[in-house]
Amino acid sequence: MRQAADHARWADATGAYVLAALEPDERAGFEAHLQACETCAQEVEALRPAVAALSRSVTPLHPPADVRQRVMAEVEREARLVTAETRDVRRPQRGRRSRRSVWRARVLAPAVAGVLLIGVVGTMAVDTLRSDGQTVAVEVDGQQAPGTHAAMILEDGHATLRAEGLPTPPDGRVYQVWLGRSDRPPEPTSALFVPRADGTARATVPGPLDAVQQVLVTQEPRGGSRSPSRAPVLVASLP
Amino acid sequence: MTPMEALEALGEEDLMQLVRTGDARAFEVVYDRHASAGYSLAYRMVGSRGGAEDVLQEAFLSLWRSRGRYDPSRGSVRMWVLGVVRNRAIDALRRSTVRPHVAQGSSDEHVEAADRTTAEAVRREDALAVRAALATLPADQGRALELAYFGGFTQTEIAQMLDTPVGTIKGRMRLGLRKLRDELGGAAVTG
Repeated sequence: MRQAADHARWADATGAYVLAALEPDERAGFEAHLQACETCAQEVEALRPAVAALSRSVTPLHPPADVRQRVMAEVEREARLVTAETRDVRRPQRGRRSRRSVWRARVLAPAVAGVLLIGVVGTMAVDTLRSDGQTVAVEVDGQQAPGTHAAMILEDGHATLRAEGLPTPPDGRVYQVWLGRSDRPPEPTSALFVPRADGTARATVPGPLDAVQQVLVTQEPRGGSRSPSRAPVLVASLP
Repeated sequence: MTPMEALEALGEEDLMQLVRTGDARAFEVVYDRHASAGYSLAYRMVGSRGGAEDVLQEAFLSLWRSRGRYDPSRGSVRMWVLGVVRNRAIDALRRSTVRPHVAQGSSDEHVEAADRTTAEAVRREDALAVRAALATLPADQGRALELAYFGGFTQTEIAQMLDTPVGTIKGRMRLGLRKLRDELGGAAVTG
């Protein structure tokens, strides 16, 4: 069996590793060692069932029903946003996976019946979204947007914000999307939007999202700003 | 068969395919299958009902939001759920100023589940079997496993708490897990 040269140093760490009890730097070192050491890799696999057994040793308890209600209420809200996103994106782009990485600038006409869109100008990932993305919870400022629910849907490094019940901004103002990276002021994007008459909204977050920690939405004068003029209405923190 | 019954009849893999597409009803079935195990673990770790409820809620929302990341080659849905519950419980313990000491197999009789189904009776039997196997471990090995798994402490923290070298703690964890696995034999592989 293949054994790495530094085996003696790491051999005892298998137990702490499967119990997730190694410090982060030691964990990284052990994982590098695992790549090269079959002996340790086999032992790690052999110890996992014992860790699973620990989880089964607890006294079985039933959670109260209201936890289920709270979880499912939020899941259903987010599922509606995901379904809406899937429906909108899938329809015109089905079967065009080869173009998934293509980004297009698009201007949406504001004259769609019943839809109030003021100059949504932004890059849109037209072929990127599949329905099996991740959802990122979006914090909503209850003062500026009471009763709003929002989620951000991630797929292949692209993100789309979806909201329900988002208030229409005052005349002359729009919502603007910003990218937050650590130790830097929020970076403005060209994604400007207003909700439809029914309060739903969709905004594609211009990528790439490398090193982006937060996606923020503020109300800004039409045309957008170079730095946020108000506190964010929506904040999505990326995992 | 109602649509919900059809979902309930699905195997894990088919169910997770639906969850991945954002199907809330399919996720509800995942919740129903695994919430009790998650809650039991959370309660064991944080030691209070309110705390365990918060951990369970946060964990399931996190599971829903990261549904695209579930990888069946890395373990069962149950282990995926329990891994996230454990991480959330550790976060909760680290947030609280006083970390409760890891109680030995404690449980609050008021919330203890009655065996509603055969599956629950089997789970209870299984828990007793694992606890019996744990009891055969040398006390210092059992303590190291308890503190790491249920307490969420790192090996360095455990070494400090027990005033013992880190290398010794590492060895106890490894030996303890090996012995536990051997005690349980084939039964431990079903997790």
